[in-house]
Amino acid sequence: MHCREFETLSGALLEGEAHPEAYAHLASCRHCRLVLDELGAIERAARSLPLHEPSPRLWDRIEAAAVAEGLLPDPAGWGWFGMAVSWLPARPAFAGALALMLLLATGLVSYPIMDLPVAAVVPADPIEVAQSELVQEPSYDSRYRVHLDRVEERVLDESSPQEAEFRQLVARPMEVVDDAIQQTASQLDEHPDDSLAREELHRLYQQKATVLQAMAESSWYRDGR
Amino acid sequence: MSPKKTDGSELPESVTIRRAQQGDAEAFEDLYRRHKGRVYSLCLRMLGNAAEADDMTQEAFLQLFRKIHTFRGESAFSTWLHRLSVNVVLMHLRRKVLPQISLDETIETDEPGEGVKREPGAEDPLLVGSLDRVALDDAIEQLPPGYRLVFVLHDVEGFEHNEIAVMLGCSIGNSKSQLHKARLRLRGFLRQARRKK
Repeated sequence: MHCREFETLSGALLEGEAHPEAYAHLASCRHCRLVLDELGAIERAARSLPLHEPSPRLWDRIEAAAVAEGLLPDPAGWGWFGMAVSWLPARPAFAGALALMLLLATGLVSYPIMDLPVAAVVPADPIEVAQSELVQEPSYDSRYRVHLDRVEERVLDESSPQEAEFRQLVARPMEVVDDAIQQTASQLDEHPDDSLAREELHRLYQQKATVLQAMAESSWYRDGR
Repeated sequence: MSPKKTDGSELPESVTIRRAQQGDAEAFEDLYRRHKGRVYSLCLRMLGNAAEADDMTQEAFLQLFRKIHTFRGESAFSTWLHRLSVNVVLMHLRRKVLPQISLDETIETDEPGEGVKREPGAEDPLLVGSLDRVALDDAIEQLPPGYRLVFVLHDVEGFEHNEIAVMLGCSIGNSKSQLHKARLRLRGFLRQARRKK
């Protein structure tokens, strides 16, 4: 038997098939013994390869997708943002930024909420209600909006060209949120006492703040700022 | 956060599975935490692409959530999940990749460098005994997709040729031949890598 013929049988030998003529060749050929040993070593090593870890935020994507599909109950804080996270591709570099983003976003949106006088939320007197809506509500919403516009402007100014890909990714969700904000704000203009619309508007502002913060943090994260 | 007993130790997997079957979100997360490495590694090795592997790991766990009520404990949970994950990746490949990497195409081709070369000074048993598993992992990534699939399914994941033949829609002979060529190719890559060091 020649080495070339042995080569075609070596796979079968590793599978445990008996080929007496191949054994005879092995006894006399150092090269083929080495090849067979090495193929066997590869087979053995393949059984204990190291495990790899998925992207650290993969669970967030899975959870968001499972919630969207109704496979898991909606935990507090998910909803639109969770869906947005599940759309994003795996980007390990954003993991830290995303965690920080959530903290900062909470701070960002809680600022105007905490600043809102309690009387404007639970007014006791109908006259007070009218007054508080006239005085407080426009100022509250406009402050919110001005604040977000300022953040958006700054984020877009500061983002580097490398961020184009991320900006592209968030462009669609951002557009959806902006449209929803516009619609809800018009609804509120027509029906200023529509508390559901107001609640929805605040929720939308929060979502926008979250996306903006994600963009800002991704720049800072990458640039080491 | 993984479900824990009152003394702080982890619950047995069978309890976690039962809870997940009842829709307990924490139990699902615990199953993810326990099995993510194995499922992701399987996806990564079969696909050779980290982003796609993330996507397929996501799909495998979603599939797990959808089907966990059908798990009856006839096989080990890890085996069941493993099989489910392989199916998810194969479905993905069938839709996107397999038409481009026909098994028959790669199996019959005698590509240059396929066979065992006799090289001067190459008779030292460098690969035996202390085979570098990280280098082997890198080498697997370099395999052509058809070879990689059979090698990963057989040598890494432990499927039999008859199972692989059914999964990939090829003959048992094709699977064996593909595997042998994959091993030869890997040997070549590993020797090359060793020489470069």
